[in-house]
Amino acid sequence: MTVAAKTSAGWADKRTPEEIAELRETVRRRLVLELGERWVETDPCVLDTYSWQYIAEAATGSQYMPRALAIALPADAEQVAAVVRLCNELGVQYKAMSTGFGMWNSPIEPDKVVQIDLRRLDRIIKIDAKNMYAIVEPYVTGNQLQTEAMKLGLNTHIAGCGAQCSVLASATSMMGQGLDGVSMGFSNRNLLGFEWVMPGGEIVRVGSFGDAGDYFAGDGPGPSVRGVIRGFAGALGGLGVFTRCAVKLYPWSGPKQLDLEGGSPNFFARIPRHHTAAVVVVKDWKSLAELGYRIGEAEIADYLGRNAPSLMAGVLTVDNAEAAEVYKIPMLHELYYALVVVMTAASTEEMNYKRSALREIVRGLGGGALSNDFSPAGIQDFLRFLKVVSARLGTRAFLRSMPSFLGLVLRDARRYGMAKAPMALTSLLYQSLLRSGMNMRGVFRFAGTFWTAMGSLVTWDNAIRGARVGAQIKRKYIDQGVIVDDGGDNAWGGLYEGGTFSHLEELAMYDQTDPEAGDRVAEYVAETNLACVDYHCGDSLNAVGPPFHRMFSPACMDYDKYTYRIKTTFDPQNAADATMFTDPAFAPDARLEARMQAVLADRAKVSIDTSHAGAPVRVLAPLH
Amino acid sequence: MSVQVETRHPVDEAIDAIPGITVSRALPRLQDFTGDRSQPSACSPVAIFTPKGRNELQALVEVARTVGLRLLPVSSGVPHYRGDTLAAENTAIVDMSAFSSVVRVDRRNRVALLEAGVRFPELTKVLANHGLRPLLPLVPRNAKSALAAYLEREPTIYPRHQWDLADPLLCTEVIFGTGEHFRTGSAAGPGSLEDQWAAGDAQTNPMGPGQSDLMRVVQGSQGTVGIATWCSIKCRPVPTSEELFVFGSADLGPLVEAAYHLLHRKHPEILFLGDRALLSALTTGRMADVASVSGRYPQWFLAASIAEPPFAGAPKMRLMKGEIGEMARLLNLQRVERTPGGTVEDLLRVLLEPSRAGSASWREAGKGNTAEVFFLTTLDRASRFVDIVTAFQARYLRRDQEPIFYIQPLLGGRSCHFEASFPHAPEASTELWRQLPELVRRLRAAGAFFSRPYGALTAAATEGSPAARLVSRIQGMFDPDSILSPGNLRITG
Repeated sequence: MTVAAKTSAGWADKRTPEEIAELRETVRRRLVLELGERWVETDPCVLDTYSWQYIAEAATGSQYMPRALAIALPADAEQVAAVVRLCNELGVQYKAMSTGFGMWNSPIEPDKVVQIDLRRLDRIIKIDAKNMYAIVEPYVTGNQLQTEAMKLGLNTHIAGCGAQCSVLASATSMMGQGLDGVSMGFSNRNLLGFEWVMPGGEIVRVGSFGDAGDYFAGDGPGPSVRGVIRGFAGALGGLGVFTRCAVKLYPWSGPKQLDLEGGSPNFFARIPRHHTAAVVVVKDWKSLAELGYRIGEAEIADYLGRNAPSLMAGVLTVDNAEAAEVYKIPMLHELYYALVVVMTAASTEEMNYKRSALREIVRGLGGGALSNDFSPAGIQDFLRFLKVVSARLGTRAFLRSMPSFLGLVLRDARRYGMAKAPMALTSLLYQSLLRSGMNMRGVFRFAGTFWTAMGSLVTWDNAIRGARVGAQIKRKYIDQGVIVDDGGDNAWGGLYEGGTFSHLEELAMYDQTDPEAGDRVAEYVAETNLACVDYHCGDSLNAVGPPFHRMFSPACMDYDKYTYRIKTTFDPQNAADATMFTDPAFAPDARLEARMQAVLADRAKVSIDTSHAGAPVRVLAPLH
Repeated sequence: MSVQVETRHPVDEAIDAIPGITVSRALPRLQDFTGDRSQPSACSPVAIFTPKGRNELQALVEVARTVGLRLLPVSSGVPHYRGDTLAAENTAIVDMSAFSSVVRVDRRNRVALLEAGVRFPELTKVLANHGLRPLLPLVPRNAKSALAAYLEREPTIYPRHQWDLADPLLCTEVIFGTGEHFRTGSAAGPGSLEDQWAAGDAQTNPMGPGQSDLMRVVQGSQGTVGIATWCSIKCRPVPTSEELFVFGSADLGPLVEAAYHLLHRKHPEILFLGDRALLSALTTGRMADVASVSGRYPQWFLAASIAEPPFAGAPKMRLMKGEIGEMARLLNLQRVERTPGGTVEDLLRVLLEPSRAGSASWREAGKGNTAEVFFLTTLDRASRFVDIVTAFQARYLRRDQEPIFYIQPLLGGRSCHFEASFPHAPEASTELWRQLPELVRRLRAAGAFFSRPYGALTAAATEGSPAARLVSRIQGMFDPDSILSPGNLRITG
């Protein structure tokens, strides 16, 4: 099983245009028999709408991925299975997409793959409020599920890709980082039972559904099939199609509906009475490490994460001109050692407890907080916040910040009204975290697109190490003018499951219409991958798909050979397009080779600083 | 002229191939694995290998493949109850007791790394020295290997801290049935464990590496996929104070409501439910004498502890106690101050200190043997299964084979482990085990999900199960010659 390599002359495809057209027509005709005329599409214009994809340039050098052979829009699992069986019969591959964010949804080879668009499977099948789980189909978004869950006193994990993305895709097939991870985990870990159209077209209901008629458990009988279908990342369409799954929901101590005013892009969210939104600042990396560990262990935060200053500037503003102004405010520009926090509570007593705990933690680290707590203690926290910032900036720069800072408040007064201006920043923070709705405005708007790097799921100490390594590498590319100067350190991420593991990914924003930028950012990603290996920063979030397994697998117990074994066992015909999954025979094309040679020839200097980390832990006994 | 070909026993070939490996063929030791308390075995193991380390173990698996020897890894001490340590034909036991170290305890990351032979009493003691405690199953017998319990997805009494059914298991090191050596999760690398520790990492991410999750494949496989040598586990900080509440009710319903309420509020550390037979078995080691306890103890109880958090602890304790008091009032729950075996504080000590447990499971309740029937469901369905088990017992089992009911919420209350144990005299075993498959069928028909089918109940627990047919495919990928745990989990759905 190999993937055809792209040569400088194009894809190594020996078929004539006539043969391709004939195949396309055969596939179309057969699909129509299964789905009906309306639900099959081969018009090139429509095919291209599927091909225009985020970071397509990494694979193709353009903003378009190769065209699919046809688009199929099945209505249910049985129709999905029929399409899958048909592809097996005709010897063409298929690739499913749910909400379809990113190039990994598309084929990598032209005119060979049937794109299965799952948008007609769009129902929330059930929300079991008592047992706190929901059963969803692929086209249900985080936003939709959260909206319905909140009506029942529940909330859902929404991955960092945004609330517009599929819940099922994150849980079964993709990754699943998010700033709600501290209280709602990682998408992999939220998956319960699921319905799987296996690569050959057989439908299997995994976990309790098959036996007990409901989806409350996904593991067993015996070994867990969850371990077959995904790991840290899913198979990205390389192992069949998931048509239904159950995900965990979480208690929500908030209103049935968020109180939003205004319109896009200037929504104002009224923070519910017992909720707290805060930016907590401390003085250095070491304190930031402590801060994460302590808040995680205290179990007080519903949302907890790090936004670097440049990302905050993006989130707080509606256009780049405004962002540039805000980013120049020295005070904001220096908020490197900060975490954003949202704490929910069901009562005044609970809110007071959580605020007391956070205060104890933050003050114990010499930090301060800007929050929606306007009590005397909250105002003291704000003064401490200013003190930390001014100590870092120096008095002169701090004072120089004041007019711009007041300007920001006046802007909010104009935008939301004088009474709401003091809450505007925390309101933005609150809605940004709750809806996972503004990450995208923070990363896409500056230059058009972004790629990301590092981001392994590791301890918080190691995640910070990775962020510091990544920033040094990124500086090289910033200095060369190929990616946006965001200060270098633009590490985004947080802690999961109360701090059991964490991630910080180093964002890199660039102009996707500039071919050089696209190429060079790919070099940045390759170089950070090498750094993950060299400096033991875990297997990066880019450890997905054959080119990257080629870098990480040898350093991580040759894991890809087992993934490949899974692939060939469950999909011996290689019917599900595995170009983003596994292919040990993968050989880099000339472009990839050149990219790697360029990276190896000029690697950034990295200095390792472990001053943030906890004291070394003594090994009690050697392994046998 | 004929040539006499000497055929050597596979055990001898293995001994020759691995100089220095410890092996025993002494009958008394072999007899430990000739039957367990669930059933006698038709076979005796052919030997017991005790590898001293990973290299010997890997060599043993490789040789076993070559010479056709089958291997059954065992980490816990006797007695065994579920039929998963019974040798099949031509099977050698792999005694993992030499893997006996708690290797590393990391307070900052709340994680420990321990080997397969470490048992709960020792683990608890070592963790306590570092301000941590393990997420314990309900009073594990004192020879139970912690790694084995977690590999079996044995439920713990800490449902709020279970984010995934795999918890508290994080990373593992495994020798697959192919002889391949692998580390799962973030332990895979980059770098050795020592490299990772030096870089501040601590094997806390259970997922991956990459796009598959082999820890999940090893877990629940009853030793049919690989042999785990060590694992990392989530631990909890030892709280500065902890209080156990026990509430009782004549009906299970109000206690189920209480469990939902407490878990939705994310208050409890420990939480489980059971009947008064369970309360008696845990605190006295015996079945309750109905005549003596029926008036004094409610039929059903819920035990829940709350612990002082590390910051602003006092207000949080006040908040939780206030809410619990209000909940008890609204649901009309009876506060239980004494158990059949002492005070509620005594019960908390029993739950937290596995060194107090005996060598036998509490499920025996002093009768000499037990049979367990357990499965997954949701809390709101529990009552229906109580009715089924009770009716079955009344109709098909002896009067003195009353069940002990134990209901363990999982995943923060999203599902639960439902267990009916039948303590019985050893001589009644055969008859009892003959009846239980039918009970399993009735429970399945009512919606029970047997996610961990063991021994003699496996067929009834999995027949027709859609996902069960994937099991053999999974096993085939990692143990193509079926040399590992040959009697376990051979299901086809």
